[in-house]
Order: sequence, then structure tokens, then C-alpha cells
Amino acid sequence: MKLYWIELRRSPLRLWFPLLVGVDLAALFGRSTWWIGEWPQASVQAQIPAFYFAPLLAAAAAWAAGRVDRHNVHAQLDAAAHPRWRSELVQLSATLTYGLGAYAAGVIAAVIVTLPKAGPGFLWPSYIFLGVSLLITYAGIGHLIGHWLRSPFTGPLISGLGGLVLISWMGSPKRLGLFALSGDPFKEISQNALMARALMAMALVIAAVSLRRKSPLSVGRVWNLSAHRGRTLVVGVLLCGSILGLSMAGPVQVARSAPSQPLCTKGTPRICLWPEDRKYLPEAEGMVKRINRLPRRLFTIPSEFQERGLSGPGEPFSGFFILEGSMWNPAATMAGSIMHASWPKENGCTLPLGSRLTPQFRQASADLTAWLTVRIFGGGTPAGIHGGPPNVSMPAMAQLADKPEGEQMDWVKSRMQVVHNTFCS
Amino acid sequence: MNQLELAAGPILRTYERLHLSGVYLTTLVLVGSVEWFEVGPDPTITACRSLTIWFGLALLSGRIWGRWLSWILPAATLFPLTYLNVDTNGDARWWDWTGQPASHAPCWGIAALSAFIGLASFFLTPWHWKKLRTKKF
Repeated sequence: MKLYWIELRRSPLRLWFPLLVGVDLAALFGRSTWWIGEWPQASVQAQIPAFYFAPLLAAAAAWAAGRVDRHNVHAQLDAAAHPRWRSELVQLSATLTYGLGAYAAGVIAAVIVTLPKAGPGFLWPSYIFLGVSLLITYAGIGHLIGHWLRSPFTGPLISGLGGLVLISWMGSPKRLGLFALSGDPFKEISQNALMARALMAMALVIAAVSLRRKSPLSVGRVWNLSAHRGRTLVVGVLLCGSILGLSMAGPVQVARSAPSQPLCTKGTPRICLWPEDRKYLPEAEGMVKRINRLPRRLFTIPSEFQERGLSGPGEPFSGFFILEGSMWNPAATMAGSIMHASWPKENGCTLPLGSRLTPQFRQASADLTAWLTVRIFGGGTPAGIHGGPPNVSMPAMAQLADKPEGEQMDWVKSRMQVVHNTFCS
Repeated sequence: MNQLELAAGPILRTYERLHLSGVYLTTLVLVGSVEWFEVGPDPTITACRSLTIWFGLALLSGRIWGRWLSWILPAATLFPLTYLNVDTNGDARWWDWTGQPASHAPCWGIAALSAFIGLASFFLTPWHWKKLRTKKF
């Protein structure tokens, strides 16, 4: 224990710790605050600083591990009463204490901020654990590299920069899945993936504390660098097995099974949300009111709009999803559903394909969908959302939605006429 | 090397200046030519501007914490530039020198300031500083 406190005092991260906590809080609150009030999004936001801390921890662990060489205490450590792996573990734990401490500060801040605003529930531990396993993995890698490369600066440089490159290029959720970026309620961390990452972290810690490079004083063949061949073999197999497990475990985020009681608005049409999204329920109720003001003679309104994943994990693209705290995307999806339900269904009217799919029809369709989106959302496009259907000016649509109802109906009727003609020609 | 740096005087200093200019110009040419041939003129100028800013930060960092720790300030810009650089509209912030185009003036201001402070911290060695302080005007 005394050794642990000494290592904590000596660690290069000691002076950096307040800065790390500052970076963690800046990562939580500096970019956007729409995640406050929803537990899965808060969990993912608390986990994001692990992306930045992991390469730093790798470099710090490499620097600490290289101290044995720099101060040339190999002989003393080998002759000590404690086994060598305990000394290495103490050193690794000191580095990890600072990293996990800064990470925990962010987790606590996320809880404090979300608790008053969100309903029942708590942070999802799977996301937090994903971050913890990333930090432990990188610290282990750093310790290994620092121990094996003799130079005091190459070790931290390679583990820090190399770790950063690896996590930036290969770490995204669709690739190696080392971190998660969005905590939509219809996704959850797959248990297999989490276990694979935990195993990887454990394997790297075991490798970091037990693999021993041959002391520089020993005479021997240059290519045989490790001190204990048997141990190196076992640890190597364990490492390869964990990497294999990681690649076989599948994607880190999988579809979540639907709840038995989704949260729905009252009246028709119903908008149903995941219970975690309860902070968007008032906005959804406003949207129901605005949908009911649409002309029923021209549009057929579906009876229910569901958030993605509520009808079961089998259909990945049905239903809307709430993007970055704005209901704009749901409004656009609902507009699309209404357009689809409003296609002419009389005899002789078929979906236009091929040469019947004229540019006028496409333009009319896009115009109507954009107008419906603006009407359902209750205003123009939010500032952070760019783009829209092709050849449609969203500011013009917002202006149109402000005009008198009669003018809007004439506009809608002329577009619907084009659609009707294309279908029923 | 430490002893050499303390005692060697003007000749070592000349070589330090030459080395510094050589490293800066070589990196500028390498980065600039790759960007020019791969992407185009605007990203080339942006990349050279970014290089100048980090160069100044590295010199300042080396003066404060010692030359072995020149990487501290450039590495510290990694987090703000990658995470805090975009505002809620999705546009790059005014100080985001990697995201703003070559025509954006405040980033050139940052580049000038960084280069000035960096070069000043390089030239203001302890003996130079002492000379300035004890100079009779």
C-alpha cells in the first residue's frame, strides 16, 4: 500500500489531474446539453471523455513503466520480497487511479445534472463500463510498450500517438467499437461485446504485469527478448484469444427489446415514445395538435406514429428517431408517413415507376413533404439542422406556413393535383 | 548537452537558429506540397497556418517547461480543436484554425500572435533577458 501512495505521488499525472477533470467537464458540457434529462444519452456523454483520456493514460503508463530502466532498478526489483508482478501492478494502478478518477468526476457530474430533470431510472452502467474498459486497455498497452522500449521518450510517444491514431481511425462504433457516440433508447450495449472488452482489458493488464523483458545485463541471444518463454507463450495466447473474442463478439451496440408499455400521447393520432424519452412528450403532444389541424380531405393521417424500435427489434428503419435533442427528424419522418398514407388509392391509380416518375412529380412530392414537416414541427428548420429534400428551399417553406390558411390550401391542392395526375394517368 | 548549451555561446546559438528555421521550412514545404498536390490551394494555406500556430505554441511550451516538454501546448490544443470546435449550428467557431477557411481573418491573427510569442520566447533566453534588463537606455 505504501508503494501505491509513493507511485501516486510520483506519477506525472499528479499535476495534470485538475486539468483532466476540467477536460472531462468540458467534454460533458462544452458542446451541447441536449443529453441532460435522458439517462442513456447522459451515460454515453459521461463515457465520451474516455476517448481522450485513453491515449494520455497509455503515454503516462509507458513513462512510468520506463522508469525501471531509466533508474536501472531491475536488480532491486527482482530481489525484492514482493513478487515482481505486484510492483508492476502497483505502478499501473497508480496511473489508472488518476484516469479513472477524472472519468468518475465526469460520471458524477452527469448524474448530478440529469437527476432532477429525468424521470425514474439511472445511468446505464454498460456505457460507463465501456469507457472504463477502454481506459484499462490503453493503460495496459502503454505499460507494455513502455516496459519493452528502452528509450524514455519513444515509449510514451508511440503509445500516446499510436493509441490516438488507433482510436480515431478504428475505434468508432461501426468499426472496433471502442467507444459509443449516441445513446438512443432503442440501442443498448451487447453483453457479448462488453464481456469481450472486459476480457481484453484483463488480458492486457495480466500481460503488462507479467511479461518481463530480459535484463540488459544478461547475456544471450538477441532475438529471444523475453525472460520467461513459457509465461510469454501463455500470455500471448490469452491476448490473441481476447482479440479474437473482440472481433467475434459483434457490434458493440445492438437493438434493444421494446418495452411492454411505451409512452404515448393521448388522443389520435398517437405518438409513442420510449419511456426514456419522456422529456419529449410535451413536444409530441404539441405535434399531435398540429397534425389534427391538417386538412383531412386532402391527407390521410395514420393512427399511430412510433419511435424506432417500439414495434420490435426486427425492423431497423421503421419509426422516427430523435436526433440530438430536436424533434425535427421525427416531424420529417411523420410527414413522410402521412404522404405515403395519402397516395391515391382509387382504381387505376398505381405507384409511378420508370418513365412515369416525372421531375414535376418529384418536386411536388418533395414540396408537400417539406410543407408537412414544417407544419408538424410548428416552425422553420432549427439552426443546427441543414439540408432538406432536393430543390426545396426550407426557409421558403417556413414562410409559406405563416401565410393565411386559404393560400396554403391552394398551394397544397395544386401540388396534390400533380401527384394525383401522375398516379392516375 | 546541458553543459554545452550553457557554455557554448554564440556559435551554438547560431546553429540553434539555423536548425529551427530549417525544421520549420522543411516541414512547411513537406506539408504544403502534399496538401497542394492532394487537395488544393485553400487547404494548403490552412495547413501552413496551422503549422505556424503549433510551431509558436511549441516554442512557448519549450521556454516555459524546458525543450523536452515542447509538446505540451500543441497536445493541449487537441481536445478543443476536435471536440469544442463546432457550435450548435454546426459551423466552426472563430478560433478553429483547422476548420476555418484560408480567408478567415481571426485565425491569421492567432497565427501572427502565436508566431510572435513563440519566436519571442525562443530569443528571450535567460542571458538575453538579463541583458535587456540591465541595459542602460
